[in-house]
This record gives sequence, structure tokens and C-alpha cells, in this order.
Amino acid sequence: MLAELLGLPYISLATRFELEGNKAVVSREIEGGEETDEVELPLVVGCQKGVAEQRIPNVRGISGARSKPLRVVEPKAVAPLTSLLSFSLPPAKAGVKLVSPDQPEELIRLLHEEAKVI
Amino acid sequence: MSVLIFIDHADGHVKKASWEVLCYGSRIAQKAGLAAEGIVLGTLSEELSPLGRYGISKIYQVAQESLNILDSAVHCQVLADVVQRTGAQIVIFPHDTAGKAIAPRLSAKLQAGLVTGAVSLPDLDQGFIVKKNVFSGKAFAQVSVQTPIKIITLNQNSFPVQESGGTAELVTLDIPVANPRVKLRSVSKSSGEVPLTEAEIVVSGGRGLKGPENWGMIEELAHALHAATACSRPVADAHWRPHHEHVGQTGLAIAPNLYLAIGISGAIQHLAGVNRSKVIAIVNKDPEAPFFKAADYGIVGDAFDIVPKLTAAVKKLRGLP
Repeated sequence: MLAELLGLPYISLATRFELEGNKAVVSREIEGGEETDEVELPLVVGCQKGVAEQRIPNVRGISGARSKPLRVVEPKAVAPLTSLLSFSLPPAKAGVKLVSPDQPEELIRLLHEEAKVI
Repeated sequence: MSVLIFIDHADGHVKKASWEVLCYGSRIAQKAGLAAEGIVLGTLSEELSPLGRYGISKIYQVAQESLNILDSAVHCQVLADVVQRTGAQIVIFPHDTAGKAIAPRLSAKLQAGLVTGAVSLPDLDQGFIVKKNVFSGKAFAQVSVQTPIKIITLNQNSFPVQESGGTAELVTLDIPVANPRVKLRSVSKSSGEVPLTEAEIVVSGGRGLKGPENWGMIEELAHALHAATACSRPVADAHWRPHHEHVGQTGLAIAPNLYLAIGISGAIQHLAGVNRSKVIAIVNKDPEAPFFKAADYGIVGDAFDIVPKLTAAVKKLRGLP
């Protein structure tokens, strides 16, 4: 949504991000694999785990952050397009059916004959 | 006045998730007294009109090859144009990579209310109320959509796919398509035989397998079951398996008919990705593993002893050598 409001390209689920001049080279997850794309800046990227190493700030950085100015921006009121009515819980599971480790083939039989998923 | 259904495709073929949204969209159209129409962006090698068997009467296609690569900005622009031309009131997407990227943009562009991850048909008796997954599948929320145009992404494996006779009329739309700003460099597909999100059966391995060298037995079991392979987060983090196989809160959310977890304790973050599976079966040597509370079937025992026996039993059942 942000990308659309800004009129920018958007790459979701990025697992790798590198800059090459005015271009970003981004790898993203797709169904059953990974795709590498090249996009001109500026753009909006949704990151997935693994895109960057976390950096632990040092003490100087933490104390320095305290003196940094904090600018508070007033939110803009917009009319909602949807509204949340209620929440509900999924039905509870009936409980696990245990199969003896001495007869693992019994599990396959149950999955085949009772659950009918094999 | 219609329900417009986004037909996602890859490698020249319609994705399985699209069949489901076609059935879902057709049912909504039936309930609301509207026409059900599909939209294809890009080019395919398979025939489109047989998709009428999922209940749609018409398929629009913008047959531009550049649309085969997902640039959500371009796709959104084209779809907005299609919505305007066809007077669509409800737009349905699968809740997959393309749907998740395009639907929010379209919502912002058309000022249309959006519900992501819907799990059942909307209630049309009192407005337009859609049930969706929240808190990583631990609960549902009822969301009311107030705008004239409504957009829904449907969670995969939430609606039964039914076929009937019928073919759809194919209408090619001539819509200007902007040059994509996203250019494809390379694609690497995973080695697994069955794509994870489309698999009916998924066999998954966790830390209990002790190392990547022990995955052979998981792959053998998966092969016998025609299943896809998956893994838990510690396994992906340790690079025992590729990251795109990771299911859970921060990985993929899947909903196969059978999820068979080997050596996974079933932490809540893992359950978030798999708790919509129809049947969950697990093998774990720790009887206190939380997964036993969420599973339908379980074996308390050593995976290294049990998995080969499961594979043998499946092979026997299927008559495989």
C-alpha cells in the first residue's frame, strides 16, 4: 500500500539486497524457489529473515541515541475502508492419537484408512 | 457488475491456488447475483477457456509477455484499468506471493476495502462480512467491508475445488502496459519434486534429525508419499536446508492435507505456519513436546528407527519397490 501511495516499485520477501550504482539487486522468495531481480531506485522493499546481519550497538551509540531529537508527527485522520466486528477461536483439536513406536506401520494404516489423507 | 478473479500462473501453467479462488469467486458471484469472470495477466502455454469448469463464464486476458514477471506496480495499474472497464465490484486474489503483493496496492489505488487471508465465503446478509485468519492462525476475525469495491485474498486450501462442465469465453483486452521497473536476472527453483505451497502432503524435519546428512530418509519418505519437504526454523538457520523450505511464523504458512513432522518439538512459532493443515502427524522422542497437543496422530520414539519403517509401510501400501 505504501509503495502504491508513493508510486514506487515494491519487492516483497527479500532475502538479499545489494546496491549497484543506481540499481538495487534483490533476491526474493517465490513459490518453490528464489528469484533475483534488478530494480532502479527508489523502491520499497519488504525484508525476510537473512537479508542483513544484526548489529549490536555499543555503549557510546546507546548514550548518543539519548540526545538525538525525536520528532513526533501527528497522524492524519482517514475514513476506514473496513472495520473489525469480532474475534472467534478455532474449534479445539480432539486430542492426539498415539501409535506405538514398535508398530510405525500402524500410523500409515490410520492415515490411509481413518484420516484418508494418503 | 461482476466478481473479478485473479488467475495466477507460473511457467506457462495456471497455479493450483487459482482453481481454488475461481471456485470461491464463482460461489460469491452466485450468492450475490453477479457474473464470475477471471483475469489473466501475461501469457500461458495452456488453454484458458477450460477454466470454465470452475464456474466462471468469461476470462479476460492482457496477453503481454512482460507481465509474466511480477512487478506489482505494473500489475496493479493494469488491474485497476480492468476493474474500471468491466465494472467489477469484488476482486479476488489467491493469498500467494502475487496476491499479497498486488492486492494491497490495488486497495490503495481504488480506495477499496481489503481483507487478506479470508477463510470462508463472505456473509452477505448484513452487508459484506468476511472471516479471516488472525494472530498467525490462532484465531479468526470477522471484518466488514464498507466500500463499493471490495478486495479479498483467499487463504490457500480454505475452499473446496469443485469441477463442473463448462467453458469460459476468452476475451483479450488491449490495455497499455507500462514498462516494468523490476527486471528479472535469474531464477533458481528448489530441487524438491513438489512445490511446498501446492503440496497435498508435506514431510518436515526439525532439529531432532541432528544434521543435514540425515535428510536422506526424509526425502525418501517424501518421495514415497509424493510429498514436498519442509523444515523448522533452527534447521534453516543452521543452513541444513534452504531457507525457502522453512515453515512457521517467519517462514511459509502452509495448509496441506497431511503434515508429517519428524523431530520437531512444535513451538508456537512453528505451529503458526502449519496449524491449518487438515491432519497433523508427528514423530518425536520427547513425549512432552508441545506438538503432541496440536497433532492428530503421534508416535513417541526415535526418528532414526521409525522413519525408515514408515517409508517401507508407504511403499508397501502403494505397491512401490
